[in-house]
Amino acid sequence: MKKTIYKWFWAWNYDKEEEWLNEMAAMGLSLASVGFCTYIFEETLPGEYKVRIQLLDHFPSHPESMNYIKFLEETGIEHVGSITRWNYFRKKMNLDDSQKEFDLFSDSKSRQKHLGKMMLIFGILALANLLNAFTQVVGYQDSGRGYTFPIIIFLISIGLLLSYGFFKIYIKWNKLKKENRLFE
Amino acid sequence: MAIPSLDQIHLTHITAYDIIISCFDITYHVVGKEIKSMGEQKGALTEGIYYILLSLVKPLHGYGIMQNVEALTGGRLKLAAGTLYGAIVNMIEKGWIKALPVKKNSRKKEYIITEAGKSVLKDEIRRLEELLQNGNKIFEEPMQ
Repeated sequence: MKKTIYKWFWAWNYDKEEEWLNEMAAMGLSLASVGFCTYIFEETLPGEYKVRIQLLDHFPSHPESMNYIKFLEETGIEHVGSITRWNYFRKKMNLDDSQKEFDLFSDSKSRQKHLGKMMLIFGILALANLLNAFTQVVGYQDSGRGYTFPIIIFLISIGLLLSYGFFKIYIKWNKLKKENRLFE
Repeated sequence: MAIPSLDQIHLTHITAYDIIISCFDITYHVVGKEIKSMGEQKGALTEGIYYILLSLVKPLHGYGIMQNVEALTGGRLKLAAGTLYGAIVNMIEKGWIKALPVKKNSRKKEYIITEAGKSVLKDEIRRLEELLQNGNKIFEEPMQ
């Protein structure tokens, strides 16, 4: 039986999203496919699957992403689905075996790199929105050809929201960076 | 195509998105190249890289590497697939390992160490021996 749940997560809270998906899997509802704000679960044994989310460099249809997903599949990981470049993976756990954890990264360097990618995206989008708002304000005063006031306010709020996401990820990234100074 | 002079372009016609994305593209490529050329200096290998190179003395596919590393370290070091993939891509780029042509009866891609990779591995083993010797010396001498 399939169960659909509609839920919203901010992209910078991807770890909370992972946590929630794994809580569902622990109760016997494993992620079977994803859509925008939509999670479709299938009934499995409690704890049969563990879920991870990863931001890839390219869209899933890009050859590099396809190579990566194929590589993961060879190690027993299933690609559940994706929303833009955010990809959802799950792995079947061997409950009697040692195989009780599923992680895509095993050292803090690759974790730091993953967070770095997110930071870059939020940073660029935040800057782009704020700068666009700024040029619209200038253009509006100059010639009246710019966007209207509500749209400028909208651009600024999106920009600020993305800046917030940027700093949330930055805090996590910086923590790992400090840790990495001590270890090879 | 004629390039319009700066005063011909009204700022509202090209969006800020265009400007930022192209600025980002340029810096990303410049910085990326610098980081790559910096990689020539010799430092310590990470544990993961060391054990992956060690595993690839014989051809292995991704999952085989994970299993081999886990067995070699008695379950202490478990490489995750994402980390392993990143390491493989980097090492192929550096020429330390190479992918073998995919056999017809198996879909899984196998990798093997190259001569360059072997010399990196030997240098690292020498470096590790030095670390061990110096460490052991301290504890062998009677401490004051």
